[in-house]
Amino acid sequence: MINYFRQPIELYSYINIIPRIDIFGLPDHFYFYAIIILISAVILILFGLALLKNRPWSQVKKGRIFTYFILLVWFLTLAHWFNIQGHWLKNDLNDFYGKSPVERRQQAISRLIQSYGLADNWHDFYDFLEFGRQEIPSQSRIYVLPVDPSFLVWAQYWLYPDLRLVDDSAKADYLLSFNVNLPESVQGFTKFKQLTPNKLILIRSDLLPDRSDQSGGN
Amino acid sequence: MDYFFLIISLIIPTIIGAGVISFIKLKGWGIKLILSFGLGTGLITFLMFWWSFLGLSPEVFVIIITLISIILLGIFFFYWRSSFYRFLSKISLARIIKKIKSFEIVEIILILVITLEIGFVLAEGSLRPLIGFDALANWAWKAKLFFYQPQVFFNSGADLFLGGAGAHPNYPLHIPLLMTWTYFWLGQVNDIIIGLIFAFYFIFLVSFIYFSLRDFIKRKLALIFTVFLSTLPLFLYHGFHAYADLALSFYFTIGVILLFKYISAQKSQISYLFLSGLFFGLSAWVKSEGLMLFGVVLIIFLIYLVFEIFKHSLFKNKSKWIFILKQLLIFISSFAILVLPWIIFKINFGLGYSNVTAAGISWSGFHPEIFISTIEQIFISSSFHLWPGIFLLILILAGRRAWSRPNYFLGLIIFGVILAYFILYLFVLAIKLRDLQYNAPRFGCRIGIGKINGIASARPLL
Repeated sequence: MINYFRQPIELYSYINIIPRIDIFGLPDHFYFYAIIILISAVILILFGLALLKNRPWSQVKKGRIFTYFILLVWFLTLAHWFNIQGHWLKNDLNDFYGKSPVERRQQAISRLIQSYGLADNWHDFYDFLEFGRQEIPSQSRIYVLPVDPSFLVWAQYWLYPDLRLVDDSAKADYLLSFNVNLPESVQGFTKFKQLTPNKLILIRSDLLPDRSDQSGGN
Repeated sequence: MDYFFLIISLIIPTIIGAGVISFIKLKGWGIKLILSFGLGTGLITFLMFWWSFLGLSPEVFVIIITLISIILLGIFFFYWRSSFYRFLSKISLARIIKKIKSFEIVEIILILVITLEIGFVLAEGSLRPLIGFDALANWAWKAKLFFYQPQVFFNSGADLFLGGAGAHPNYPLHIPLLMTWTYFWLGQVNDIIIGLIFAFYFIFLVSFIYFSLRDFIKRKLALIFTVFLSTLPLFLYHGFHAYADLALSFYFTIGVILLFKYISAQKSQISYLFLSGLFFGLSAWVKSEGLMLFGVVLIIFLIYLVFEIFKHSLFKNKSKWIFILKQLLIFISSFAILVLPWIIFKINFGLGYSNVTAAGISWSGFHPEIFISTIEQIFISSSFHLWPGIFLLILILAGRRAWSRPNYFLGLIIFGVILAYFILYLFVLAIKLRDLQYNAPRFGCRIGIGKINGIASARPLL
């Protein structure tokens, strides 16, 4: 039961569905509906009996009692959700308030990747994109590894209009490789810059400028 | 300063919308404001689309619309200045205190809850950067592209035509263009505070529901139902995520309520019908599902009209027949004004309605597995909390009133919409439960081998 109230951290993954939460192996809504149906039945039975015996409280408006009952259940069962909202607000104020847009994006991407349980070296994808933006000449065409929809979308969205993502490495001027186990030599590309040993930029060999840092900068 | 320009960027469409709304007799300033916002933002993006498609400068469009709104504001002030002064003279501290005193404790608590939820949505909308996958892949991406390169956006020969192949080029453009409209006012792409647009859709939809309920039920009950709506987890979540679903709900709900008011009024106002059709048209301009939803409403409206014919024995009365046909014509044509040009545009450029490719819907057999998973998502997930169950309970307990005339019209629309989605999912896609629950990036599952020349082992280091 305590765990039920200890799950308020957002996975950053909710889009079309806010996932259910289980209590003792059953969805929490199973218990909620059971309580509503049971108490509604009890109220109806009591009123039925009162009506038969012509008791004075049979005159009380059933609709009003039902409305207040539902309202009470609504608020009580939403306690978990209000808790989540409070945590989100607290976390987001801490993460984003007073920060620059770049810092906010860095933090959001880091949180998103953390929520999927990936190791620390995956958290700095946005920093890697910014590194690419700084190092690669404007208007170049880039290809991003690993090929994952999220990484591709982030790269396309945040690097535009400075850099243009392409869907085939043959069309790319530069290759941004983030935590990918690349072989010693990549056909048609040469190492250009690196943020860390596994986060590097490769340049198409025929574009290789004289000043390129073959040994790895930064 | 950015917040100021964001507000201005929403006030200007609202003034334009008010220009149209002023021709229609409506009760209550709240409803007028909400309809003006909805209609204005919809019309602005619709006009901006066609203006830019013709190769004209979007910046010039912004200037022209701003000038029109200033002129309109002047006209409004000239015609309604006495009403405005009267309204101002009525505002006094004593009146406000008297009004507050008229509220019961329960009502004050309910108002407080609604206010807190609105505050939450506004805070989140201004704090979080855009992060949702579809927001960055589709809606916000198109807005950014259109802001920087409108000529590329509309160049059918370019890779990035309407956002490019991966960005659902066949999707309607209200949300991206509304974001771009705001970016023009901000003078930059600001993907942090743009989330506030969705918070305003949230606020206006919640307010619209309250004001509409007040026409039929007492204040306390209207507040209770508004609290139910404003605390729904998924609804709140969409209030600060740059997705089109909330805007679709906003336009569709207004369309339905206006149509309901039209059929339930003693003296029907044809302008309500016209306005309803416009809002349904705008819902199809937000998401393609709007077309399906309008189809559902049209069928139910036809059922209603046929029922009325039988009930009142109108077969022999030629003028009544003409009146009914006139109603249908107005309803469909007001919808078509906004939708038909977009459909013709799509046909011209070979764009379909699939959510996977730019082509048509891909029918893919029968998928009964969707039935259980959808029921589970509606009743068991936290998305709508207990509302679906409570709604059914209300229908059972208040059966006679719920299905009396004209209330049954709303009931038919609700069940018609659910049925339409079921049919769509049953025959279009095999959506597994997991996909429905976590429609999100799944690292480690999707990260694949790079399609790169000469690399067979470019595997991610997981």
